[in-house]
Amino acid sequence: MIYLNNAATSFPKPSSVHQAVIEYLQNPPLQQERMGYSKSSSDRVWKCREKLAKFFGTQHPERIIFTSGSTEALNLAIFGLDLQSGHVITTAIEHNSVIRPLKKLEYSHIIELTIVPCDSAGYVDPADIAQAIRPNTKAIVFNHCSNVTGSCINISSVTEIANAKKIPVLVDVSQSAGTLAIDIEKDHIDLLAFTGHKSLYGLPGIGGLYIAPEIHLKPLKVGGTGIKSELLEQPQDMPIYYESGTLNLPGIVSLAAGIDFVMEQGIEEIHHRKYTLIRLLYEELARMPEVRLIGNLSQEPTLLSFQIQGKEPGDVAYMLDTCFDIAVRSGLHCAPLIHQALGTYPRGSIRASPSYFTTEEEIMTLIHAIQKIVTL
Amino acid sequence: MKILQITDVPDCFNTSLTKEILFDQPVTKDYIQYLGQHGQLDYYAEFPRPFYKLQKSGYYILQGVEGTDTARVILDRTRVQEALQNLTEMLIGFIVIDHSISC
Repeated sequence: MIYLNNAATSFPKPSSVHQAVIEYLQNPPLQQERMGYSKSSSDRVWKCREKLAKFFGTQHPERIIFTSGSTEALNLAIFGLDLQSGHVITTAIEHNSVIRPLKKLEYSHIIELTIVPCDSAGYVDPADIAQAIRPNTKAIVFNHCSNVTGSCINISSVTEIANAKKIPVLVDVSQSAGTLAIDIEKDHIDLLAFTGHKSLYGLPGIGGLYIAPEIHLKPLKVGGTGIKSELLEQPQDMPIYYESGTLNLPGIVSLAAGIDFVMEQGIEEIHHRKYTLIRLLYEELARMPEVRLIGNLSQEPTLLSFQIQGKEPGDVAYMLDTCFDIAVRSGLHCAPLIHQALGTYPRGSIRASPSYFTTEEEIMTLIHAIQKIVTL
Repeated sequence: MKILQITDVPDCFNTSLTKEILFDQPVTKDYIQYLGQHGQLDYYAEFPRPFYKLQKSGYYILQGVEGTDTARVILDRTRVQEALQNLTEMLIGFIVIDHSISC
């Protein structure tokens, strides 16, 4: 199997991630205390928080909350902020993990929502976000990097404007974490939602939310925390205020190993490898008149969407899978609004997303398979 | 040919109704040729694994790979039951032909 669906979840994982999970399963924490809050070097959960803090550029590991992934992190942020009777700005390149929580609030008449459009290549102009700000704007929520086109929004260009007006900014870095440099403090990010199982090479089911010290959210859930059990209300300490229930320890251990791997390879090297493969794919597909490429290379994307004239994206993906043993993703990629802007709604597109481990030979095999399919 | 199981194929992408069909035996070249009597058949024998696609306009698109016991059918949402019934009847028809050859 040639796996080119890493934008959904990465495969394979680095061997160091395998080893870390196996080691955890063979040697789980059996001590009396709950993990994650003591700053001891033997606390694997705390160590992961520290790695994440260093990786994302914050001095506050205690403000990194573990969640089941980006969706839960985004739900925690969106439903946790006090947005009552306020206005929220988001963009057309968002994933449903952002669109649906915000639409729920809009449909419930809790917020007014502005969706800033993107152009026909999937780019959002930060000036359009600035222009959408109203006196009652209570949050700006945006996707750092589209999972359909790979187009990115410059984080600081938004946060500079928002910070000046004291509007909290929530950034979804599901696609970019592990591929593009992200710096919470340098970019003045208030809330950062990430998943662990894509380019951070962790197991599915782990992710997190960074919450800046000046931001207060209502918890999404309350309950057991393993410490301060005498309290009948949720302890206010960070991070347990937001972390009721048993943490996903195998996921956390895998994420720590994944971050180590990314830091060892270097973000620039990882991005360079992926982009080089995408450029090869883009240039070869551009030679085929039957192929419509979605987006362009101007921001050096690490994934590529396309359509084939006269063929359903789902049919093409099915053929690639069943006949050529190549896994890509077809459809709307849970991001319907950007497809409307790209003119690819409702059928969507075919998306190829390599990983650090993908080879040029594998990309050439995909190209040859598409050459056969387009001639049908 | 019998259908052992029909399962939904959930995804976030389109407006069609896609289901995966599990047959009681692998799809043969004879079966694929039989399909051609019931709609527009495309058969790509030159693929690493030969691919077929049968389109019965307004009812369904059936597609799969020769030698496997599964196929995908995309049903017309406006007439799901009718399309499924039409597909099932076609498969029963193949069994009759198959028996006549065997005997």
